[in-house]
Amino acid sequence: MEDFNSETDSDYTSYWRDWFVSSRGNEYFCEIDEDYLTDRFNLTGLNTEVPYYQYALDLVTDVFDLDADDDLREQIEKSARHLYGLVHARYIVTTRGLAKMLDKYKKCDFGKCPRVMCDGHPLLPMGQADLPNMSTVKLYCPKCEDIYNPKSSRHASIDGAYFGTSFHSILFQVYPALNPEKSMRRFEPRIYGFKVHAAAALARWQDGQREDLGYRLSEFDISHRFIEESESDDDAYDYGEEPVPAKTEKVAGDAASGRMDLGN
Amino acid sequence: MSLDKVPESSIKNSDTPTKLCVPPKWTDKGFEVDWESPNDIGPVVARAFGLGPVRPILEDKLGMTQIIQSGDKFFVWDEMNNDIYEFACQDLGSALADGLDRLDLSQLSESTLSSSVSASFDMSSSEGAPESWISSFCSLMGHEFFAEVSEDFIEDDFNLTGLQSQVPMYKEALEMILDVEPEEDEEEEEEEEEEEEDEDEILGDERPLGYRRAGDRRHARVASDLSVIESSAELLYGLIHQRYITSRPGIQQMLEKYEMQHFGVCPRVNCNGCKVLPVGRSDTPGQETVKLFCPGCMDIYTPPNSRFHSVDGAFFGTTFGCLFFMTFPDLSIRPRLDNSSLSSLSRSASQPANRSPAAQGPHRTPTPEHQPVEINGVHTLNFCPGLGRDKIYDPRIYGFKVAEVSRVGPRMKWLRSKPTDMYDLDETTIYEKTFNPNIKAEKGDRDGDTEMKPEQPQDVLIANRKKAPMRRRRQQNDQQPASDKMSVQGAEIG
Repeated sequence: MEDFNSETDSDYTSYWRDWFVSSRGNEYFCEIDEDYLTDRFNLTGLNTEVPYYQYALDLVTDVFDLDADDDLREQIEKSARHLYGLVHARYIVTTRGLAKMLDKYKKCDFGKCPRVMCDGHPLLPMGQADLPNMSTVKLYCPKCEDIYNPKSSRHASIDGAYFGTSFHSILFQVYPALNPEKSMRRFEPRIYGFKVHAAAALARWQDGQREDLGYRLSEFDISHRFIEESESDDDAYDYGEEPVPAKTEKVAGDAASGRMDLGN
Repeated sequence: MSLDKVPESSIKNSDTPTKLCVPPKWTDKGFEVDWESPNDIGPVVARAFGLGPVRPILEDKLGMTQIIQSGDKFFVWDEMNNDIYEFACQDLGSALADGLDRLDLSQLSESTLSSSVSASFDMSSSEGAPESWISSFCSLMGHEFFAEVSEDFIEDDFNLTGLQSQVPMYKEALEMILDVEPEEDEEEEEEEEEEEEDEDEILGDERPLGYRRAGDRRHARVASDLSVIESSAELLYGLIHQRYITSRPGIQQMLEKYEMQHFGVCPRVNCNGCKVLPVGRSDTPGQETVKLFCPGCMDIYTPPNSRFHSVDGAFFGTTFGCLFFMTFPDLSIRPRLDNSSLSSLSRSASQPANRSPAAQGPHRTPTPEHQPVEINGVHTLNFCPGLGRDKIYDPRIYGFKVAEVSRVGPRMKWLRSKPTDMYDLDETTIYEKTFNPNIKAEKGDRDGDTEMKPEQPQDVLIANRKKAPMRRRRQQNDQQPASDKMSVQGAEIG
């Protein structure tokens, strides 16, 4: 068994990892430090999870020099990617890993929340399980605290375990100031300007839930504020609510002058 | 558009464009999709659709649409919708380039469009026959959400009430939509020529008779008029469309499109691929683009494919989304997961086993018995199936739930919650619970059922809500060192 190259190799370019992180479909991954990869403690237990573990590790750390045939090489390559993913899940909850992922989050590398009311808030990758081959990667929106499917099928095939279930929660525990303000804004289905009863009744009930949350939090002296509180949701409890003026049809002149630019 | 679903296509095209001029916003190198090895996603998908060896030709800059060649045929792979279409055109080389330009909806007036281009993007059904403005509009890239408004609907003046003042050059636009002038069928070609030659006005005589009349009339027009009319026609069509899809035939047509999943599925994981509908957030054009309404979570989402980011939401309107589901109350909106054969296929290429996550396991908590069949006019089964207790994402750190009182604990669960007992949404029951608690005994054990559930206290909280401020005050006095408690919770998490 080969020895790990540690310090001697650190100025050597991280060729494989560079390639891996920058290749298509791997935009969600950040680059794992050489030091982290070569610390055997960080890899505890992975040798049983990954076939050709030692070769895979050599490949990831760029010390692979086995003359393997194409078949074997492909196997090892696959193992290396798997290994990298599993280490990645551990790495991104370390201080350095969090910082790297935070950078990517700020750059919107993981995409934006599809929910209209979230105004394109940046997303974070997450898995629904910590074991591999259970489910694919999902995207967590810290604003609405819900999870979404990646919109590109390229990303939809990444294993969720490569990011883990805890990462996004830990990120905000470590950087609480980055936790976005939560919004009360919601979509209100309307028909000809009138709210729909079933949806409105549910919205009232949900607002009750939110109020209760406020009470529960205030018992612990936490005052949690939702932004846009002054918006139309204020009247959500008023059963005899004034109908919102329907804003249809009025702006004939506007429509006429501002002609639609649909690109055609 | 132009493209046929693969199985029914019957186009022969042998001239391979050796050199393509790459249209703007497209690229012919550095593809996002991998094509090299047979196990890369591109070839895998191609095989799934029964194509032979493929090679990529073009890809849009977003990496969402690919044009590929297999044998002597060309295909468009719409990655978003997992569909492959075959090109139906004769002169592929130039049509491809010009046509893509058109697909991108940019600088239409500058490019010299030939009729073969629009023909190249025709549905095969209408192949050969001249196409109406409406169907060619609906088949443009990005207009997949539109239904084809029937001419009867447009010809009824009542349906157009008030639109005249909203649309510039209303009459011409209407004529264009209805193809009143015979040359509209080969519109672009004629119009473009017209534009170029308007200045010297020679060609009028050489035209076939059918064209001359309209041509003469048009001589008065300025060149830019045509693009104004074109965009007016689109605006007018959109506004008519907004009304049409709330009419009986229109909503029926949208139902067919809905059932074929033309509008996509909800991106939310816990909605399990519930089908969505296009809606607007405003009925006034020019304000917001089209959004997707998911009946499973009663929320709206931005379409994933950017080609829809230029479609006006007012063309679908605010009313349509809800009216649709009230019109078809028996339509099951419960998600089907099995139709994603392609995505599961591409996934299995990289992952041997794809077991369903434990989080979505079958251990659903039973709902209280005696649930109403219908609540507030909606079938209980069809009422927000994407919401409720086991449909809320629960953040965990190393398996432990993040406490609500943690500084960054979950605060948005209300948004995805739904009462376990549907009677909590029934106004009569709420009234009885709040103001006449004695009536519970008479109503049998249904109410008792929920209240005895200790793990679900929020089920009855709607009744307690009114009392809550009092309770809070009392508890605040009782539980003195609140800050201590918080630090304990914080430590547990942090």
